[in-house]
Amino acid sequence: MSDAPVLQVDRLVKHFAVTRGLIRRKVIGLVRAVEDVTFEIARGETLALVGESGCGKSTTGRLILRLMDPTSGSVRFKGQEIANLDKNSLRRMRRHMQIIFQDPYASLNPRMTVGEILAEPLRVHEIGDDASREARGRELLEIVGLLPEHARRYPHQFSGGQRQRIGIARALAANPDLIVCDEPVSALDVSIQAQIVNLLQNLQQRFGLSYLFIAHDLAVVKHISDRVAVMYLGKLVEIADKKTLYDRPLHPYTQALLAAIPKPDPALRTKRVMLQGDVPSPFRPPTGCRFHTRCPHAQPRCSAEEPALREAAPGHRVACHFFESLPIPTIIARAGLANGKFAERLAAFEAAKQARVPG
Amino acid sequence: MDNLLEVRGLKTHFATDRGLFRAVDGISFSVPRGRTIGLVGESGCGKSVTSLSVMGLVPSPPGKVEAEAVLFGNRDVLRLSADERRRLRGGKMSMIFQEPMTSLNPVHTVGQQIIEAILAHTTMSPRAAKARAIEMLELVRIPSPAQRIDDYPHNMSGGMRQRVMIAMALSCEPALLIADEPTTALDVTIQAQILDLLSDLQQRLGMAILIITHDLGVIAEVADQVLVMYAGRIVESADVKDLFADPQHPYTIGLLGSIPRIDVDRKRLATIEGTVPSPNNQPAGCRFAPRCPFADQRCRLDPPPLRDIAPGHQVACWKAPVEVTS
Repeated sequence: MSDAPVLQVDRLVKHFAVTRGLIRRKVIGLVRAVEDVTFEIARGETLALVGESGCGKSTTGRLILRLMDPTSGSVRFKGQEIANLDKNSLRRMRRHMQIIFQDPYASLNPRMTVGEILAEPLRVHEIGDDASREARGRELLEIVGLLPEHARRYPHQFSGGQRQRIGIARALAANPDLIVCDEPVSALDVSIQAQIVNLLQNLQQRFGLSYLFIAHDLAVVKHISDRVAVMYLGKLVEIADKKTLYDRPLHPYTQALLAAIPKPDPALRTKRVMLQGDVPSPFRPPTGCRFHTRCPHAQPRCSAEEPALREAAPGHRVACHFFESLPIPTIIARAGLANGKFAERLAAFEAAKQARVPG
Repeated sequence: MDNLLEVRGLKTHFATDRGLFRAVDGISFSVPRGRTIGLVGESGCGKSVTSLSVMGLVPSPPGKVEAEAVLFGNRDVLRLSADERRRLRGGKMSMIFQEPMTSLNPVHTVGQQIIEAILAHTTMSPRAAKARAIEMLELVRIPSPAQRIDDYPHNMSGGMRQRVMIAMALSCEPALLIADEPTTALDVTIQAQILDLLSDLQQRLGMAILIITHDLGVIAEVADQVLVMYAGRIVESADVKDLFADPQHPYTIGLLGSIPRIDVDRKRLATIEGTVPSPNNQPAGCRFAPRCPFADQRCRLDPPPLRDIAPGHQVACWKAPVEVTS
């Protein structure tokens, strides 16, 4: 069983009805938030789901945990279908799949102490007694880099980064297999973001966790993920292992996203090819390929016919009619920081830090 | 070089129930004409309060803005009357904010809001002001501006609203544009459009830009000169190329090491341990000392002054330059 994927998502669809009228509510259309999304996550793997606002990545995360019911499609967790589980079986299942939210201010109950917050998942799943839950809470705080005595404090006594650590500890409480991380670092400052990213990586190694990492920041994603799925307007446009996606992005949207990221190196400042216009409304998505209205390579066929997700190489699938014939932009990738004063100083910084912290 | 804005010894403090918050604590910098200065730092470092202090938008009380001088052109803006200040603001000195949804008035069309700014600062007739507003919308590349001028903010996307804000800010031909996190709320493809628009407009109109951001990627793309702020003070000031190639302050080094980058493969990110000190309980010496791996007794007791370490490159650190052999 250990080779079987932890999560299998097959042709997942979510439509939201748009209604008008107060007394006689009439459905006037559908927002196609998630349309025909298929992927798998292996044990111990991190799959990143990336895209811009409104692409359906968070909705997908919520459908997987069944915090929302899908319109159609299947979600299997360790081989078991969860799309039609009843309430009690669903609750038992959720013990093994948890979520970390973006906003560490809104996702912790301000009236509960940290100890109570961490004991709650255990209480809900009827694991242990009060004393063992309290002990587990203290242990969890140490695992995420806080102190056991923090259990008596309230969320408002912590900074954003510390609260995110509490959110992570809560997700770990019942020993899950899969954690959906919904933009877990986007509300944090860069220096804190790096601490949390490193923590998530340590926890994954230590507990063999699988992550679905939902994010808009392709640089963070490159750092943390094994495979990457790119969404645009509810559809998966490209999925590949990390190296392939960043070295040989085949979908014009993936290429544009990568080109748009500001590179923190003024030596690379260049005139870029930019996407024009805004993301169209998912209420009336463009016909054919949903990206054709902004695509620099669009041809008549793109507006008429929806491209299927086709295999470009083993494990690399792309939804574009013309990906075989499009040029692949060179995206600078270096094996490490260039030699130079910055690299030397960073090494000195890290060495001094090591010397200071025993162990 | 000819400085448009010169800030000397700026201190902005807020009196609160929990004591005096020293949001900005004695900073000096200048903005040359036609150049882009980047002010970078993390939440609570005082970068936004700096821009609000220069604009004269700090509410008082509880805020108190003090400085040896804040010279704009050759006038000290802190010594101007409220009325003179208002004429300056939105005229020769204007500002765009992070959140384009909340900085536009939802009950007026975007056209009315741009026209209002033009009428407040010029002697144009309403008709000429409208023509000018359409011209501005065209300048910020809003398609069919003559129609879009009658749109309300909610009819527009986030990127479009930020373009309207830019149109409004530039409508009176400012010499200085302060852009406070202008692209933080936007998606990356839209961010790229807005940054490109700003540098294009700068070339055409010749204004100076003070851009405030937490994103070192944005700084690397647009700034000529960079100021790094930490806990209310400037810790490093350098030409953009020098800052990224030859960072001197341990905070700058740690910050650059902690950004995930798509152009570099690394196993682990560097981290800066701990968190930013609270603004009402600042360390006595160097404010970065509690988080700095190089800090010693002197750093903890004695605040380091900003000093020259190379031509055009200043750093506030006793230990700089730090070398591997240390």
